[in-house]
Amino acid sequence: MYPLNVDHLSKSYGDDVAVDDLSFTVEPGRVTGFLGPNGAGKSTTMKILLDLASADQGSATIGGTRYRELRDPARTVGVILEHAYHPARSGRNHLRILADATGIPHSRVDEMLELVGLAHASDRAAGAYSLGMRQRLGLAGALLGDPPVLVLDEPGNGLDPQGIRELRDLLRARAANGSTVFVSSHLLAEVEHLADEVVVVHKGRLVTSGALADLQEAGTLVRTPSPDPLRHVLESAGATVQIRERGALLVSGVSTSDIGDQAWAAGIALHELSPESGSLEDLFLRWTADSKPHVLPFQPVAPERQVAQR
Amino acid sequence: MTWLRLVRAELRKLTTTKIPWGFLAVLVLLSAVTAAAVSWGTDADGSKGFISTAEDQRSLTAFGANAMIIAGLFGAIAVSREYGHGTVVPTFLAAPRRYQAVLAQYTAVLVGGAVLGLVGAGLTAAGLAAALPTTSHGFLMSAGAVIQVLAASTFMGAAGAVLGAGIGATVRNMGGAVTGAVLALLVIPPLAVQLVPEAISWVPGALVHVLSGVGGEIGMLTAVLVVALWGLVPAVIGLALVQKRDIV
Repeated sequence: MYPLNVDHLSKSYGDDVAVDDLSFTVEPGRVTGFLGPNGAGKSTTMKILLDLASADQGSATIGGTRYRELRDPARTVGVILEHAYHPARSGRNHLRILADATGIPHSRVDEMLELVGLAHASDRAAGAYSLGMRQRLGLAGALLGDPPVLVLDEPGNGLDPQGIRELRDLLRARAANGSTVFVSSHLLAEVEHLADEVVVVHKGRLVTSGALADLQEAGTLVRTPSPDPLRHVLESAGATVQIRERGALLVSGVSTSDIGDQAWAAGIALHELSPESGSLEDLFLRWTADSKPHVLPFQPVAPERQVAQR
Repeated sequence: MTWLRLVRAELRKLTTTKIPWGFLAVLVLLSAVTAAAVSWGTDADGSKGFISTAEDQRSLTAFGANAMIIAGLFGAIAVSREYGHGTVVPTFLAAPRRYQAVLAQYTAVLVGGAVLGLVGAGLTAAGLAAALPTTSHGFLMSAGAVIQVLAASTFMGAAGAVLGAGIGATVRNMGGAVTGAVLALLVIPPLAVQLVPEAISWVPGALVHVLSGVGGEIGMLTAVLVVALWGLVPAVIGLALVQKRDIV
């Protein structure tokens, strides 16, 4: 089993802070989505994890080991980072080169071309492929060594709906078999269907991480003309309260009915009392709207809880 | 074993695009130019003095300097395009201790440069041999002389390719790498000789004469070492830089 562990990772390019004291864990047996706006530090984090870039501080390990220390890195970690192909080289030859470099038999190349649905175009120049076909070629390369870890940067980009479905089924099947699957994506609807866990970064910093289902059940949204008194009442009752926009509180740790009862007992009027859960897109936009990292009412899922959920 | 696998992959990279065919076409063209010069060219006095002796013919077919320039461009393009197309990423993922990957690149490019040098000299000699019947002169070079010219061109092609590869690894941009190779092999040597006349013995144009047995002021072993240094210095610089740089 190969958990990925990012520990207080920092990286700057000149004055630009790409990654800022970032820590999170990606557990095996789960599909973990890695989310953040453009420039949030996702690709930099992945490159440091894969020893393609160096960290200024902190560490990123795969199964407790740096990528370069893995005994057989290319067979341990399958990677899609960017479109890395020569446009004049055929898809088959592209994969043969990867197979040569890693000591994988060429018969595996044909298997992967079949798996990703590129067998019919395998002898065409990769430069003539559509974006979706190039993604399939990248996926074939990542799976070539049948690795127990997948690190995929935007693997669904350019895929048609059928390709998205196949990708989702494939990644979920690999996770179900104990693989570690770490996927960055801007396709939030796709991540919502694919990921068990998410790690959200913004401006290089961790915004939140945890089980997607838990994150989507963030708490109860309360609107009241007396937010401060209600906040004191609810915090006294053991709730965690976050002040949102004017007159709104996001409350977690107590039930919706308890919130209503507490407000009634304190004589505080309520204008809205509704469970706060939403699409990943809504949450994502909220998480990444401000320049400062959010203090969220939910806690990252502890590793032991993740294990229990499996 | 990892390194041999990487060399095999790098050789496949070189042989699965059209770049070798492009350079082969250049060599064929140069051979045709040689044949045309032999058939129709003359010295200033209107004679065919430039092919009248075995030594003249050896000098004409001494392809090493051309081989070094052509292979230098080949090496610069072959390595720098890896960064341009991003294909260096899977290479470094397969060999995260990057010196192995870079040495494999250098080895493959060295083989390619050597082949270009050998083929270039062979085609030039063939062009000479094909054109001589149109003149009153025969093919006068001994087998030993032909072999020495071929060997010199092969060696200088290999060195030139490694030089270009080192520049490619250093610059990582195809335009910049090609410019660097042109500067190193075509622009800087004559400038250096103008500034320091004693440097004349150390530039490719003079070294090829020594290695091909045409003449020269330094010994064969010294010439071999100097040609090797022409390739090794940029290669070592490129190797050192690649170890530390981020792949962005």
